[in-house]
Amino acid sequence: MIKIKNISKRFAKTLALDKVSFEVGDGEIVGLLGENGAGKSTLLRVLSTMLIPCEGNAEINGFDLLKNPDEVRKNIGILFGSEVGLYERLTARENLEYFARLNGMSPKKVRERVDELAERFSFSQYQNKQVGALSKGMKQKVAIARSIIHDPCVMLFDEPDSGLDFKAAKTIFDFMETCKSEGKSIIFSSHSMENIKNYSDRMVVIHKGRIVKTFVIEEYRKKYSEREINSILFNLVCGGEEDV
Amino acid sequence: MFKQAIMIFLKEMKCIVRDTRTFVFGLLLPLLLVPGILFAINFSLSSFIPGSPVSMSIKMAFSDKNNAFYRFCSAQSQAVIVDVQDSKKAINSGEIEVYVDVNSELDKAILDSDGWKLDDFVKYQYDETDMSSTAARSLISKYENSFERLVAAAKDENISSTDELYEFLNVDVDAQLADQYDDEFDLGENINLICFVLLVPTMLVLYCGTSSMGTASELGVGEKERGTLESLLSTGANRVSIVLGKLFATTAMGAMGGFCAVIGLIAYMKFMFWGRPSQINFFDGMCLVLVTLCVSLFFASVNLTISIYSKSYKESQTYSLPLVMLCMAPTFFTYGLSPIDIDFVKLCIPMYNVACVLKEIISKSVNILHVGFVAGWLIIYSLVAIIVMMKLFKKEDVIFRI
Repeated sequence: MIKIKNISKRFAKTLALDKVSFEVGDGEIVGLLGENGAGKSTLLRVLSTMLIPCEGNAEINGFDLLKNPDEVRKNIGILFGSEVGLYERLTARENLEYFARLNGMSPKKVRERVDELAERFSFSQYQNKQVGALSKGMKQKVAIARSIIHDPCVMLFDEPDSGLDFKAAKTIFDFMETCKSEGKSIIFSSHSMENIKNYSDRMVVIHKGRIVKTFVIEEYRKKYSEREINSILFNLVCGGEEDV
Repeated sequence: MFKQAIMIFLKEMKCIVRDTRTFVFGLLLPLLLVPGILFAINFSLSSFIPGSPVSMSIKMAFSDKNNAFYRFCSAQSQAVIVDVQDSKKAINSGEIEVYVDVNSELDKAILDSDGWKLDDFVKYQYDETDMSSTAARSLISKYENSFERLVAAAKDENISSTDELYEFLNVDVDAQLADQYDDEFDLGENINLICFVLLVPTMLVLYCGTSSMGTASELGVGEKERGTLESLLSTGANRVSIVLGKLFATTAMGAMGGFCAVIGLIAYMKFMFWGRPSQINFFDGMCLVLVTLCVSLFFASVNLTISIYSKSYKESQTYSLPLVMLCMAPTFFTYGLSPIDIDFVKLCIPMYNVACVLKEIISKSVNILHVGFVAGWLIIYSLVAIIVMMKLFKKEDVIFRI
């Protein structure tokens, strides 16, 4: 469960987030849609405690973002699309072990968890290869495993489809569906309308740091055609009104 | 906190060891480069300066051959007398090294008076810019002394004719001079000694700085550029542990670079020429280790601070390299300093103080108070840099450079 309450974030003279509030339930995927610089990545960085909000607060699985940042980090997994966030000179296994140990897992538990994830994402035979020598698709699988090594109940995906080919992006979205079925709360940001429409249960459209619209995509599908929905989303993303 | 820092340190060291480029440039290069530089200096100088007087020959010419000094010089096994028409041309072309212009009144003065001086009757022409010519002139000075001693002995024997005098002066003193040179002065050895004393402080500072510079850039801004910093920040590791882990790894690389430079130098001295540096005892060695570690810690903390602040790897290198060079500069000012002249005022000057205590260690006049004082200063500078680094690492606009 994620509860975001009036979060604002300012960088010098730029207001990156302006009183952002919404909630994400267990087993729900919320898509953050917005153009470049709208504040999507900033919001995810705030939720992962990398940035401190100027105003407002959030609750991640019951832990206060400002009061318990260490507990919050233990409860979130974050995955980036363009960057796999892995160390190229370490093997896939060493990468996973490193992040698991930093998350406070015991050596025995680390071994079991790495074996389990290597099996689940089919990289057992490559686990002792240095990440730099792996294919992009394989790196992506290891990166996914890295993000859930500590079994978080909240997942944040920062533009997971950015810079990936269809096959690699599909791997990530399949994984997102799996997380949903496991009851995890998920926020994913993207500037691709199609991916947001296809994979999220609820959509938050953000423009210049402000939430301009929050809606359930299935309800719109009942009222409008796909073409009309695209037109509405385009207007909203660009800061316009909800006109068909 | 320290458990996480050690975890990060071990992971960074594993990555560094697997990075051939960093390993070669950080460790192997100082190990080989320092002996290489020393060998080049020695080789270059030994081609100009004959190492042993026994193997040296002096090509010389005289204005007049009918005098006692010519007779004495021509008796020397190493003197090669050449007949020349134009003395200046012969010197410039290398045909001769020294031209001796002898006053025709020399013999008369020797036989008739006691108050004569050879300088009053002999003038020399040689090329002051040429090492061989200068060395030959220097050796002739020894001939002058021997000549004057022999003449004094001849007068004691009551020799009164030039023929008897020439016969008396027909003595080859080169062999005796060679023995004396061997006992008093070995030029090759002295070049190595000078290089060792001068190079150790400079090389140690240089390699502690440059070895940690590359590592600091890799571990600081390199992590931002590779996109792994966000993964790291989203783990349970707190920022102090992350910075400490990276600082330990950077310090270790800097120290290893510094040690490699000194080991290369000592190995060169021990195996190629001269055994004295290998006689550094355990206590001196520990002092050397302590100073190297403190210098490495200082450079690691400063370079890592710069790296964390920088937007790119290139920017980090742009700031770090001039800083290392700047830190090297004070070590040059200790070249003419004697270890006995080192006092606490000098030990307060950053980096100059490092060169001072290293000089003491090398010359076996270690003062533990001086070593502790300098180590203390270095730790203070490092702590200041670490505090700045911690503050920067917690600043969002620095970490993400928005």
